[in-house]
Amino acid sequence: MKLHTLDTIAKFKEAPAVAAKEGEKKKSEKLWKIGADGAAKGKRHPTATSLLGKMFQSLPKEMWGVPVWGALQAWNQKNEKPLDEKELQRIYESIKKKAEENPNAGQQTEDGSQADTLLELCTEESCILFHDQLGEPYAYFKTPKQWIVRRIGSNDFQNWLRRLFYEKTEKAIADTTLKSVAGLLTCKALYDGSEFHLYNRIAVQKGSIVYNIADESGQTVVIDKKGYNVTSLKEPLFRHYRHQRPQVSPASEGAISDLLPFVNLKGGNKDQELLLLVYTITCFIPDFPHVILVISGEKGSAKSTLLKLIRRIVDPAKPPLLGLSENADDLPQQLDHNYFAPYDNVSGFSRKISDRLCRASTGDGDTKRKLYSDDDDFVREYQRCVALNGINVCAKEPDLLERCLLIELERIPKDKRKTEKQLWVEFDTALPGILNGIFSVLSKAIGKYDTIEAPGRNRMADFEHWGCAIAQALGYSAQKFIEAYERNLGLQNQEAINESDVAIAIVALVELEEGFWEGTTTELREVLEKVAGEEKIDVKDRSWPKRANTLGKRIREVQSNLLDAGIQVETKHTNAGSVITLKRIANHPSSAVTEAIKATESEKSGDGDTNMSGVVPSPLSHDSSQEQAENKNVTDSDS
Amino acid sequence: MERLANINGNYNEFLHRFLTVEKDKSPQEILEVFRTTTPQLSPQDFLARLPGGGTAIQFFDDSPEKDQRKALCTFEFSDEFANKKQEEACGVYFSANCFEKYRRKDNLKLIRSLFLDWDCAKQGDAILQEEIDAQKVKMLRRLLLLEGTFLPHVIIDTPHGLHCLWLINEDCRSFKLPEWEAYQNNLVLYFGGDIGAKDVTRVLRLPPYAHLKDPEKPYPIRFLYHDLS
Repeated sequence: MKLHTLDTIAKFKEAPAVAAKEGEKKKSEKLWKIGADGAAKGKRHPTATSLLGKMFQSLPKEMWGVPVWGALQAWNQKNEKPLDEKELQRIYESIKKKAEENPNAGQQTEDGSQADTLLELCTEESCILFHDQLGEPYAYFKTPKQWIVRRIGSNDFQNWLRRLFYEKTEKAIADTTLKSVAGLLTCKALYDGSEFHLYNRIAVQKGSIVYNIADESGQTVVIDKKGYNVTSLKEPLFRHYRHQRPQVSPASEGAISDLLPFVNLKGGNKDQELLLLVYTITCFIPDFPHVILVISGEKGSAKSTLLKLIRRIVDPAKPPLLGLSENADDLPQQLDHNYFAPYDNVSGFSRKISDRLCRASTGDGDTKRKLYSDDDDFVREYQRCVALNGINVCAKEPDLLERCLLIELERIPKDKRKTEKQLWVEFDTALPGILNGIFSVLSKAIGKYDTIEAPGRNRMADFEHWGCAIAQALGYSAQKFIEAYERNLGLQNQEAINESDVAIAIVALVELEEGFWEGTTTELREVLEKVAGEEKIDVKDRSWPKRANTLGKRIREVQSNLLDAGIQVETKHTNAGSVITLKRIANHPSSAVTEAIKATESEKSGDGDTNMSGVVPSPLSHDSSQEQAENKNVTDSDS
Repeated sequence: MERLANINGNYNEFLHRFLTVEKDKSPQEILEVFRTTTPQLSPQDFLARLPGGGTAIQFFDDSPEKDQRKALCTFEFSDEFANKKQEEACGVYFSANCFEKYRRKDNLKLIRSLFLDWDCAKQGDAILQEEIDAQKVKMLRRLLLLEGTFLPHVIIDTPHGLHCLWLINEDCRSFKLPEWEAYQNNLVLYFGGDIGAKDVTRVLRLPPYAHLKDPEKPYPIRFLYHDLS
């Protein structure tokens, strides 16, 4: 039993508006009183007329026959001198005839009746009530332009109800009645309605990918391995949010590579070209862990423009880009509402936000207490394409970096700069062709997905698998994609190491000790502090571990990155405490990655080859399976 | 139905019942559904579930004579005594609020509720039973479906209307009497209840004892809804 609170009784703090109608009510009561007592001679006719009028007005038509006539007769018997039966019948017939001509007769005009009318209209208008996979109530209803899906409590749906009521009755509906009707429809949707799985922008249905164009005619693109076609939706499948904008229809020809002239990849890097194309196409595949696109580059390198371009291709919206809030609790709503969530000008963020982004990539759920409720949850569930841009690589945490795809842009030369207007005119012209290219490649990739064998060595194994299928559909080999991706992972790995003072010190220590060091955690902390001094690392900084057990935690964070960089960290628990062994691994597959990093670094300094793919041997070109098996035996660091 | 009850308790069960039975049943039939399916608590059980204790049990002569000598107020309920008073044509009532020794303003122990005495007709009015039932169903719909979270805890069926009780929490119980009276007055106006029935000492009909104002047609008072679990 839930007792009423000051909130729930708040509406009785002030006198209700209905009090003003009290006089009217009393008049009505008086009439019934006369009806009860009978009328004096000379007032029998007007009283009979009034009584009949009231009964015909307030009672449903099916009661106008015997029940009303019976009541009139009963009243007549109370009169001092009852009216003649024939006279009474004449009055009855006369008033009944007038009532039948009055369209409002038999319809009470109070709120309850308005609610009834509106509820009936909802059915007539084929408004489908249902609930989604999270148990939230929705309506699928017809507007003058199209069928749309909205939450029952949304303003859009309530406005539709208002309009519906006005169209049929030419009367405005009271807000309280509207709320009540919405409450009833919510119940119907939850308990009587079917369940439909709702998606944001892109859905999977019967083995096909369905892309919501979200235009006025409710068109969608259905993509399967046989090809793609544009059709109209027959059932609720997508949520719609106000920020979403319609997509253009794909053209009959054109290729995804038409996107590349709009992008300014550093040194025309072919690896990154392939990865960017693959990434863009994977954005059209829902329900799998997407990599997080991280775009970096100096000012004037069109980072934001690239994000806007991808946003326009995948999930057009206004505003196109999002700002990353400092409050991690703001993220779930943004991520839930935006299928493609592009965060602009990100310079850094907290660990909590980093974790949220990781979870958004691999699939996240979020519950929050519903507003104005004690115990009701509001549930969100999403798996999103997230993209970030910043002058530097803004992802810092190793676990986030592991999920990232790093793309670097270079400053656009003055002679190649275009005005914003010119760029968008050209892009809008190219977009239908780009979409045709994407849908065609995606269709081919769906056909190849089941037969392709991806190595699945990396954290984002699903991306790797889809990437191989898409690369083949694009006309590249799967191996070329894997090579490009692993080189990109090498960059991420180096970023992770560069972001960790402990990792930098360990790399320096192993270098100093010629590939091997062993000792307790306490000894390691002491020796690392000395190395850190030489490496100009500030050991007084908050991030530097002040105790041995904290050092263990910091090492664990970068252990996999160190391994990828060719340094194995082993921890053995002995009676004397934890003993840590640092060992350089000969012929580790990461040697290729390290080479890639060196190549990139020399490229940055201006003395290297600009095309990494031409310099670096493929990590798949030698057998590293045995060492990888050994590497898996690495134990946890001290606890 | 069982699933609904488990999720949200009585309210949704009733809500759903309304939605499912209303379309093909007459008001009389709907009321009958409510009367027969709502658990009819024993007076002892019902009184024990009311918070605060100090519930006054009142007996008034229901007959046209309205014999004041038959009126009696007690704070100890006895089924046997209540039946005896019914034989004397007395109606049985309980107080909406809590008192000590006497059911008087001065003896008010605790304000625990807001209430409504709503009638769509008076004894002896020339009004069809069908219309009374239709009005009752309309009011029930309003109370249970159209008022959002302001759900009554108890709805009692009376011959010409309904008695409703809304139990209030600690914050509201600290109201000073004039403040509570303002809320109560506005509530009665809002629902179009009996404007004379809004004093803090008011008593409401206690189920299952009969309404005996028409000696030829005793009307059993019943619960139409309660949420006192």
